[in-house]
Amino acid sequence: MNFFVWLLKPSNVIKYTDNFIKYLVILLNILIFSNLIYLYFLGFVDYKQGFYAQIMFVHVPAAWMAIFVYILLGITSFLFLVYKHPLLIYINDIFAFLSLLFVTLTLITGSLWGKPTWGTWWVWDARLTSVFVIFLLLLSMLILRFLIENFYDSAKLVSFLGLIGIINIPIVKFSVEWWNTLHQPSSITLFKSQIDYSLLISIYGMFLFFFIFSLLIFFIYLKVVILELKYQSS
Amino acid sequence: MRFACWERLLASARQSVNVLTSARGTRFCHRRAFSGRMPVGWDTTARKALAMNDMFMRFRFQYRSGAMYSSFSTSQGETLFSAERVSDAAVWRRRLEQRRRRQFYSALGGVVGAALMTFAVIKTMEDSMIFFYTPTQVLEELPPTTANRRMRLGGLVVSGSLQRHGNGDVEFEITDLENEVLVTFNGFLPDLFREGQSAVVEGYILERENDGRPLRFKATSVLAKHDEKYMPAQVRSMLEKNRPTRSDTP
Repeated sequence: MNFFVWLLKPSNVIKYTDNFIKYLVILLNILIFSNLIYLYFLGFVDYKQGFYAQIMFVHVPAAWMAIFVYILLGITSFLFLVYKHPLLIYINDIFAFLSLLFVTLTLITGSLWGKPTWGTWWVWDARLTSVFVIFLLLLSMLILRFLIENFYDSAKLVSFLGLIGIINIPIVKFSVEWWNTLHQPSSITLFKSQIDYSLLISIYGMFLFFFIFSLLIFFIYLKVVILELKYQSS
Repeated sequence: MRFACWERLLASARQSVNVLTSARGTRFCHRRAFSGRMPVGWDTTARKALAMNDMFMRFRFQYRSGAMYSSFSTSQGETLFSAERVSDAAVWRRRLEQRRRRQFYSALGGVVGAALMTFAVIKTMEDSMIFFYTPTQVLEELPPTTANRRMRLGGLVVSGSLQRHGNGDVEFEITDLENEVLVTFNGFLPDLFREGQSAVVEGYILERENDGRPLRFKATSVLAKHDEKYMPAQVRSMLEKNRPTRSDTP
């Protein structure tokens, strides 16, 4: 516990993250360009879906990232509700924002993918509905953050929502196995992936890109918030 | 910062409530009213302010929100008013530990309770969460459907069953490898609709009686469902080329 308190100390956050923000930017550029070049030369045309399946390289990593960030949001919400560390308010905010960003990206790209393959923009099947519930939760969290004037009260309420929303995560994950849905079951599992190796590399690469991107946004936001608070209090 | 002069004023007032000439507390105060001579009746005002301060402190400790605004400290007892802090720090620390334990278990219980509630809700809504019925389920249950009250049916499109009549009228059979349902549809089929692939159709049952023939289903919309396999077309064609044909196998 003491380690985490030490880690969350604002001066330490500034001290240890300030140096590698620029390295993250360089890594981000390398990742996106290498991914794009690889995808260009791969020229992926699916044997069944044709050109449309290329949107998979944005849709799948974005969905993973949204779920991943939401799990982190649930953990930090729990820690905030118990330990009331003030920095966790800001960490919750940025996690909610990032998760909302990726969920929106997932919904938009999924919709664009669904029209040519399924023949519809949107259906209310279990997978799509449960992801839409995450989207609504995050949106309501963001709105509540702006709407409630008391900073601390709104932080508590938003953390509570984030904590409750964790229940949705296994529903999203297993919805394609529990019920029969229009959405296909997951292609990529730990041991037996139903997807060609050449495509898997690019999906993992795009996931890494989104991950580094989120890390960068996270650290920049924390730095801005801490410096702003320092400026206000001095 | 706004409280600093008040704090000084109150501290000095504590020391010398009865000494009328004391102006030590006003030295760093920026407010014009206290910068010169003390106004008439200032000691009464100070006593009232002290009482107000005590009440305020009690309220603040009770609801513990002061530390959140004032600093990044994790020791929750720390506030702007430092006079009370030292004396009963141990008491506050013990209460804080108790509160944290209580909050930990209440948060945990809240999550578990919400999970149970969600599980119950999903269990009760399980029938309506099914996106489509299989042909076997349709034949067993025969849901009451009309043109206004539609249902969805999903399964494999039987190879060789697709028949195109004029005016965009289409007929095909949908199977779950046990039973078949004959589907009629008027309109455009999606690009990925193929024989031997999955499809989900929305519509209603035309003919319930089933004397040897498959049950007839009128579809108002057809959705193609694809599986979770992806591979480049070249890889697929190479696989097709290398696959042993039926004549090769004994």
